[in-house]
Amino acid sequence: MSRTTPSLGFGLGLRVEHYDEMLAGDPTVDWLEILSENYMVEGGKPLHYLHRLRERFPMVMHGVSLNIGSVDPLNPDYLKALKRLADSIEPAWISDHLCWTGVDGAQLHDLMPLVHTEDAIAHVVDRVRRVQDFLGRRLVLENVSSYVSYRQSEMPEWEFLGAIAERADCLLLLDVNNVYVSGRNHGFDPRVYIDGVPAGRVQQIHLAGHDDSGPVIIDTHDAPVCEAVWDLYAHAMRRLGPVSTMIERDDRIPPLGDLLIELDRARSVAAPILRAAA
Amino acid sequence: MNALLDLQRRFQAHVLGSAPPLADAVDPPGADASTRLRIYVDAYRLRLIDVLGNDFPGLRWLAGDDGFDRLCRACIEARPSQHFNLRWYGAALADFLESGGSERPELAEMARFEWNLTLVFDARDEPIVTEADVAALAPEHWPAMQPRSHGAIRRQRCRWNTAAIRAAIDRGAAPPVAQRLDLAEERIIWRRRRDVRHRALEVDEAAALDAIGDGATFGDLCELLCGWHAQEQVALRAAALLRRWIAEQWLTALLAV
Ligand SMILES: [Fe+2]
Repeated sequence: MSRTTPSLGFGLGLRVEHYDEMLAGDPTVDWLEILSENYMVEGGKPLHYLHRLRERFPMVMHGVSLNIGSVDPLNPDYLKALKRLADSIEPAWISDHLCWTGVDGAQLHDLMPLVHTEDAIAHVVDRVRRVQDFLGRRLVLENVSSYVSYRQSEMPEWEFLGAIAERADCLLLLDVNNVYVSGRNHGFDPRVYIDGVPAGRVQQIHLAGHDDSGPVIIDTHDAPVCEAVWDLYAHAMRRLGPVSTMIERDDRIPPLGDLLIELDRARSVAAPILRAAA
Repeated sequence: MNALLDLQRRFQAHVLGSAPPLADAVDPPGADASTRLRIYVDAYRLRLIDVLGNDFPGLRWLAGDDGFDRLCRACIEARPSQHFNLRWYGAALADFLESGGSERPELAEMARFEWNLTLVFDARDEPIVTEADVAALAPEHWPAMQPRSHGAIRRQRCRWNTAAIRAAIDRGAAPPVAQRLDLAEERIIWRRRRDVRHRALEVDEAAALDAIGDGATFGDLCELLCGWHAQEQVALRAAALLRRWIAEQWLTALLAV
């Protein structure tokens, strides 16, 4: 049984560079994802644009600082700021990453991988439940790209992710690019990963580009989606059916038109698969 | 839990630069592990430097690209990031430079100035007093009326041509060389229609603004302005200042006491 909200269609991550075009034109974007931390401010331009755009587009919130996997206590200031923002823009859902971002009060502003153990599952599940109670809604957790794995890990990442989602009763944001990047970095088959996640819990999909120039692939979000990731997206669509999909670009931001073309490609990859399944 | 704690502490200590790579804990082992961990070590610094570069273009210009990179790295080593939001790390850089992070005083002044610009940019929205509010005020209420200034306003005493350098950069023009001013100036940084602005204050204007911060009434301002103007001029000057402040959007209320 699906616990997810029906698909919002095809969206984009909101970037400052596109504010005016988003407001002035009529871009073919079904919904927007905002980076929650960028709007945890008191006023001025960010909130002004956010609220004007909210009048025109459905929105979802995506955070990077929940630190759900850390052994530090959950940060009440962060949770309050998150809830305040959610109360003001009423997002369709709120996501963050299955990772840790700092310990002992330090902030590394990066998505560090978790060790895949029963202990870690129990730890994260307890925290997800508390966050969900506080927010009054299900949390959506995203798989991250990683460059190291731990020898202590007892199971593959997809089992770890799936167990947390089932036991905490939360939802998932499947970043297809991250699956691909981690698959290459750690030598697993990304299709097996996608086949292994609980399909009824996937609320959202991220598509992004990466850097494939060194010994390890790095998740840079600064390039177009590559062919292998498009293939993997088609595979995900066959397994998952319609899921809200977006292009995630954080650096070397191209003109909005370029991203809309990329988003159309996502539409055309998904359409025949969803038609055939219908 | 203890295993989780131990792993995160060792990982973080390595990223922060105070511990060797946890090569025994990560796969694949050996030299490849340090190469892979290096990605996290570099990303922490590069992400902070990137944000600082966006918020401190004047400082980067003064210090040069390499100098700026060195300053940021020294700051990051001395003051690890503590706030969940990257946006607040700039405060650490301004503090670092003011507490001896550089031999050049113009760098510390620029860093503080640019941090003030950043603070004003997304400070709280408040109501703005308009000309109509002034017009609605009966003459007999003027002396006891308390103007209240907008919370987003910041002030800074500048001894260098910091503001001119930053203004040139914002215009996309070639900045002037750093120069000590003959006379230090009192600058105000604020937001008008959501755009961040700054300008120098006249001496009496700065004193009058300080006074309303302390709760002065319009009558008090007139008295204060006697320090600069003839008795018969002070009411005019006070009214002119008030009108200018309203036009600049510095006032959030005119309280009738
Ligand atoms: Fe993502």
